[in-house]
Amino acid sequence: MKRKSSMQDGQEHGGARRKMQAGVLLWVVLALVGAIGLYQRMRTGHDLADYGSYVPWGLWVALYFHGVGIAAGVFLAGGLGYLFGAPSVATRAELRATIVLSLAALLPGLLGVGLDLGRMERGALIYLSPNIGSVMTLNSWLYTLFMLTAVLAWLLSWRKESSWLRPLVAFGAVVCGVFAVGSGLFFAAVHVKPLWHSGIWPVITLVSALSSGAAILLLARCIGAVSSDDAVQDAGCLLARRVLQGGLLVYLGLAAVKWMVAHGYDMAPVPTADPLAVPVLSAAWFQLLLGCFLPLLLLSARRAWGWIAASLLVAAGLFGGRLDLLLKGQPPAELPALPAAFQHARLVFSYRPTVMEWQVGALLLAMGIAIYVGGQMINKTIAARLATAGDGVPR
Amino acid sequence: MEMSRRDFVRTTALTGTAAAALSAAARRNRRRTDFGDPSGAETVRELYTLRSVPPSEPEDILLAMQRDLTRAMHRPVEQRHWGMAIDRRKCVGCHACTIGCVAENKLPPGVVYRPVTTEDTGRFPDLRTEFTPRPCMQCRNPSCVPVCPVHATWQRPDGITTMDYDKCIGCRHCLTACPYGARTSDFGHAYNAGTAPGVGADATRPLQGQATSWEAQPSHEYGKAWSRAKHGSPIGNARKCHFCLHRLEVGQLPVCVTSCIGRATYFGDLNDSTALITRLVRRESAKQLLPHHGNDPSVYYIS
Repeated sequence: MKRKSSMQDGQEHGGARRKMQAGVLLWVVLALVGAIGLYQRMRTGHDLADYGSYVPWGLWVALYFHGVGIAAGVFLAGGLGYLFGAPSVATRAELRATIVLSLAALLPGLLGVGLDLGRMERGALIYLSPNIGSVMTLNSWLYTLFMLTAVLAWLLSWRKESSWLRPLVAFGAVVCGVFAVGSGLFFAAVHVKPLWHSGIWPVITLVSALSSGAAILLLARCIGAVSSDDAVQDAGCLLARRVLQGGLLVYLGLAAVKWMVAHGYDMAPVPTADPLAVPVLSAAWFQLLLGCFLPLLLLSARRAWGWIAASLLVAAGLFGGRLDLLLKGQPPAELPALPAAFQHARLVFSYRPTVMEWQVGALLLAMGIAIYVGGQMINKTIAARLATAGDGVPR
Repeated sequence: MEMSRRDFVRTTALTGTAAAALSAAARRNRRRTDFGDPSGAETVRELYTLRSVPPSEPEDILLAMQRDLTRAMHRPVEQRHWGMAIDRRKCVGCHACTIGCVAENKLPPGVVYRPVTTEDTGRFPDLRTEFTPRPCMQCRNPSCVPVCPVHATWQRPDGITTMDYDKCIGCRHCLTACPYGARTSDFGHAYNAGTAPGVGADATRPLQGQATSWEAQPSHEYGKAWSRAKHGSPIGNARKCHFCLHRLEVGQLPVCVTSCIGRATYFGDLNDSTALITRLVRRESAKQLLPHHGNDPSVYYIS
């Protein structure tokens, strides 16, 4: 590799500073917009949201599913990479980054579903009076178990010697795998919904989680790199790209199998009376062409901007897939005359997220970014202090 | 660097412990049948039906069902199984049952327990309009119960699927798990939102402010007083038809039955072979709605 001149270094750092400033500005806008949405949600309850009784779950629940999927995928890829010594993710510093990133995806997701509750103040009943037979309870417990495991692993990662760190990381990966499957089981277990009641969903949600998690890992590595060259040379990027490519190929294969079986056996879901859509996101061409095919092409290029674009497209495309699954299965479509029987805006088969719902979505995104950036700053601060104190940073 | 044998054993131990704990919790959960419902002798009610009017044949079906209800209440709750039969041939689509239910349970906008769907079938000139009242089906295998994360809904010994408004967290999972759309969420709306309570009567307030105060009064579902003031439950909760349990307890038929102008709704104890509803369901080969889901509803339709 050629040595960079000091002028090139200066240009790169200037570019990095500008990127940083643009990022901070974007984050401030997201946070402000989100804060207004949160205020409206707390002030007016669910008045400004569009979900109702026949489509009870909307954007926030989809974001929750996406968040937990990303968290699981990040930890599965990063955690297993650490355990098996994959290049550039085998250090404890990288493990800590993985932990922070997975929590940065999980916590906003949980806030999203919390804001969706009709009685938020009773959320603790999931622990105090649980129906463990409900997949919702099971998943909630698994998220809690994972958070405890991740925090404990993070704490142990600062110790020089810890014989429990690797078992804890392995256990965390198992829990992640189970709750990634649990997202699909959540739908598959509802036997009265023709679209949901299929054994393929747990498999698809696992693959989707792994792919979206790898995409976010790649995004974080590319954005964290000082220059495009650094990102291209980064072995961590290579790992994330390989996992993402594999995940997307399997995801496409599963989507094809699902389509073939559903049509071959005439199991296409009962059509809903009104459009149930979020424009673009719920379109199959967006989810598969722009969310999978195009990223696969972009990933094969040796350009960091292409990988960033691919990661964002995958995150959006797979989110569209989750949103679609969530929305289309909900209405009691076998009784199409219901909305006309007793009329109210909450008693319709259609749903479109409102501005307030998107604002809260922006808040969740800003929260995720803040947790990741803040967590990494804490990681670096502690590492610097340990280095200064002469204790050495455990690798 | 790879996993050592010791690492693997420890990982297995952690995973095994977590799996065992979850399995034990699930097993204990499966055995749970006690939800605090009273049963046995304390549920027997000594009620009577118009002592001065002796039974006659034929008789107004409301009176016959009233006698069936009284007889059923003489038995403990676990020996009853409430059911409903709706004769679609007699339903005129007046929606009186829907409105009666709204008034009885003080339902806010967007919450409905018994809508009546209207469907036109056939081809001109052989057209037909069919009305289908849709209460909660009180399924024998309710798909809404197992999904509740906090045991806020369960099946009573008499077959009615009930709710604990004080426990429901408002996740709305039960709404998505009902194929009949029989559960609705209370989003806290009010029919008189925006009208000032306590303002004097004038031409623009023909009800002299009474409508507003009506909405502020508590409903008496499940035999308790539920006030919606100050965002109290059932605001934020899932809500559903309960066959007017609070009325049954005092010997009154559900309000949708008594308000039906076509006498199209039948109600009674399906365990009582002599009850009008049981005889009717058997004689008319009554059918269930969406039987392929296997929920086995306690509501039957006669077409």
